[in-house]
Amino acid sequence: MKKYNYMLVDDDVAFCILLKEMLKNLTFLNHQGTYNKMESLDTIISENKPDLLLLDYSMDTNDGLSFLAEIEQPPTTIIISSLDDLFLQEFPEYIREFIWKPELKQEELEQKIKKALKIES
Amino acid sequence: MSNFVEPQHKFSENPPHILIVEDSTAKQLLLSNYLKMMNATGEIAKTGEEAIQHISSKSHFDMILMDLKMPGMDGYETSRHIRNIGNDYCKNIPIIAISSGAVQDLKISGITDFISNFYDFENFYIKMREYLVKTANSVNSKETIEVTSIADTITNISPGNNQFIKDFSAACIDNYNEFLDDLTDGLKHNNKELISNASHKIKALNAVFKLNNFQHDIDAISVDDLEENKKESLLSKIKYQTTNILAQLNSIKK
Repeated sequence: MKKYNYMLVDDDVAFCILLKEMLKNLTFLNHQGTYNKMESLDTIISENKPDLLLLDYSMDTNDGLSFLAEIEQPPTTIIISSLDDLFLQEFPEYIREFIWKPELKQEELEQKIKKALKIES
Repeated sequence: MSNFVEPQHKFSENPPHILIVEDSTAKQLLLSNYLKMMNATGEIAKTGEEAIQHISSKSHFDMILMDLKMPGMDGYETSRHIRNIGNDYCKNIPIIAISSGAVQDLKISGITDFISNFYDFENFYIKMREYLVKTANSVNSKETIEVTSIADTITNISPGNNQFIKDFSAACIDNYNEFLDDLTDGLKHNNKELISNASHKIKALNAVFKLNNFQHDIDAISVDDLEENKKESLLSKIKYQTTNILAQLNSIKK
């Protein structure tokens, strides 16, 4: 089975540790890196070309989305957030799914990632 | 002994009052220093007989630290006597034995638990906190503490993965400390953005640990038109609960 490289971007270190541990169970994924700061992230993404980006919507220092718009070929992205009203907003097409942090569940996580990557179950 | 005490190793409010039952002057000094470092207060009884006098006096203690080896009435016998006084206070007060050697069956004597390595301050603090929280909980049932499942939750995410347990607990400690600092600052300076960010950022972890009532309190304090006295009372409750969560996380981290 093909392995998909993913990157995790969130300034919440505890959440990153938790999510990375949960994603270990998904054998089709390969962890490419975790980043807690937005600094140089556009370059890192452009150079490493992850298949999937798990991105916190509300990073402390920057809007989690604006830098993506500047990347030539933004990766398939899943937004992770604790904000309640996130679903009311419009997002570009490379944003495939949303994960609401307070309802993080293993099965849903797998389902959404497979859907975003267009992997058939 | 380190002079540096992290803020989470201090009792920030309602300093507990502890009875130290110990015949050795050196250990009396060590334990008194520990209490000072934790912002707790204490009284010393040099013998079992003195301990019974103290406990029967007007002073109210939240815990007894009991040396087991003492001339005359030892720690086991003293504890039995205290339990036999018969009132609820003497039946329920935590008696924590301090011993560097082997211990006999503690429960027969009514001893709640023991601290083996009390020269390790953090170890000492964690054990103290564990029983002081239980006491506060039984005294004030309104303070809903939901922290008992934190250890189980973390362990069950990745059973047997000690590195994950350690790293995740440490990161959670940072998050809860940051949350409390931001919330306190936000309320102090009426900075709504800081309050709202603090509340949002901690939401995910509270959900992981199923701390629903705790999150409910946090949401309630973020409401704009909350009366000042209610705000203070809620903040005090949130601080208390956060301290308990931190104590649990600290014990897991080890």
